[in-house]
Amino acid sequence: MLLRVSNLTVHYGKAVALENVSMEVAEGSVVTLVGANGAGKTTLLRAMSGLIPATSGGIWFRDRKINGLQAPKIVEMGLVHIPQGRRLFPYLTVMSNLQLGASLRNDKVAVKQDLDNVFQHFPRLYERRNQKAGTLSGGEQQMVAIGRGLMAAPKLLLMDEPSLGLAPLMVAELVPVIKYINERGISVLLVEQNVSLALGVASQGYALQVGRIVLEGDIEKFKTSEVVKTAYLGR
Amino acid sequence: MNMILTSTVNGLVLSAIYILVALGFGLQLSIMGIFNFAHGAVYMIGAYVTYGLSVALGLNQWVSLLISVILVGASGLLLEKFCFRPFQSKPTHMIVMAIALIMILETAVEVTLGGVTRALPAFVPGIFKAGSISVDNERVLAFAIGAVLLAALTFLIQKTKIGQQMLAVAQDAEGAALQGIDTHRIAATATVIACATAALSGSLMATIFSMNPFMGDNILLKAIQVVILSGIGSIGGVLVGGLIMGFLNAFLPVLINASVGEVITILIVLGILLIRPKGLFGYELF
Repeated sequence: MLLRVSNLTVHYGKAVALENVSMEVAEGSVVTLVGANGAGKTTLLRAMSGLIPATSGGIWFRDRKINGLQAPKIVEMGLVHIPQGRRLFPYLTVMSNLQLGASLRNDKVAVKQDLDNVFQHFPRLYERRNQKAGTLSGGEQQMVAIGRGLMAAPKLLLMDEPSLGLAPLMVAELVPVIKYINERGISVLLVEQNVSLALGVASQGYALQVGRIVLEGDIEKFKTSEVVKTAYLGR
Repeated sequence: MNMILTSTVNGLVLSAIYILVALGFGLQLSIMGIFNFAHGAVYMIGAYVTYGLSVALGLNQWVSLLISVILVGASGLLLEKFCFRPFQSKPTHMIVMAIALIMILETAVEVTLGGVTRALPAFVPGIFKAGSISVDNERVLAFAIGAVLLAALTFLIQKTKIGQQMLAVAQDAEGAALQGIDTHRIAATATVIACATAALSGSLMATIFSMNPFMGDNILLKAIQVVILSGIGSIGGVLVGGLIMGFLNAFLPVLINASVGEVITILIVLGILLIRPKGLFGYELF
């Protein structure tokens, strides 16, 4: 198993943010994590990438326990987190943002190759490579965030609400992007409130409700689940 | 005519030093989010280490300067780790820590060496002559070193990988950590650069003017004014802000008098801030 979370509990101060959460992401898969606001989705991703400590339980990535490691160490192992709100460097150029994604890599040739791949897949970014990232549209900024994540040569990409703040047309464009990433052999853990997007690309799913996993399994199960329908699709 | 020339030269020298000190102060502010009010005290220590090695121990003055820059620069590692890192997210604690550092450093020098004003001998004694212009070598040297260092720092920050990482941490520290950037290492690098440039600036100024244990207080105020005037986190802005401050501080004391000059300088800074609250350049030029 590429990523395994076992009985993870996380506190924010005294409040319980996650309680006894267990989940897995298999090599080569696209897994989605759905849930309403405040369910703990972002907290789970932040614990995985070393931004917040776990109270108990463990996270294993490529058979190595990673909770307790510093964030850069986890990136180095190939677990890369594209955070909510993108967190680009707004006063640096698109080019600089992308290159910073490869901060830990020393293989210049492969980095150049990956940069070419990003530009080839997102030609818009090539046009805007010398523009400051903060001046781009929301959709373009999301492409920079995804491109920057890919520049780290990830094995597993954590994507936190890539659809947030995007126009419906841009949201639709995310489906082929995530499929493309997965075809390149990168596993994806997609956190989404836009459940129809999530169900469209994932093969496995988990649903979080106030810090606990309430539904898990094959994505078909989610499409028919009453829990998902009532809570997230508004039907 | 002669007055204008002298003040222009002084303006250039003061600008170069203000810019260097303000750049160090601004780097620490934007990368760690701390106001290092002890930056002026570090500048003073730099001058005293150079003085101690050259005058008291009799080492070559250039070697003394080099050792001072290295020693004070390296002490930045300790400062970052033990004095800044624990207080990075606690601004009020950090202010107390900075004031404590100022008092410890200034008092240590005053108690051991006395509060007397001293002079650091010139690095290159003599007068520089070009046509009808004659300026003492120290000022030419200070300006030249300042300009070269500034160019080097600008290159480092804007064109190298570590420089881009420094800017990334300044703009979004958590976003930077998620790219694998070690934010503590970047903070330590910035502090070392700031301390080393402060030591160099202090030593150069001590040859042109004079030195005493409290020489850092004045330069700290100037650095803060430059940083606020230019807008936090903008190298281009610091250059312009430093030039404005340098020339005001060179001309006003001659045209009016020193104390009134200080007041007018502050009023001009305040006036600019009234018109442009984010400073002359905001964040944009970095």
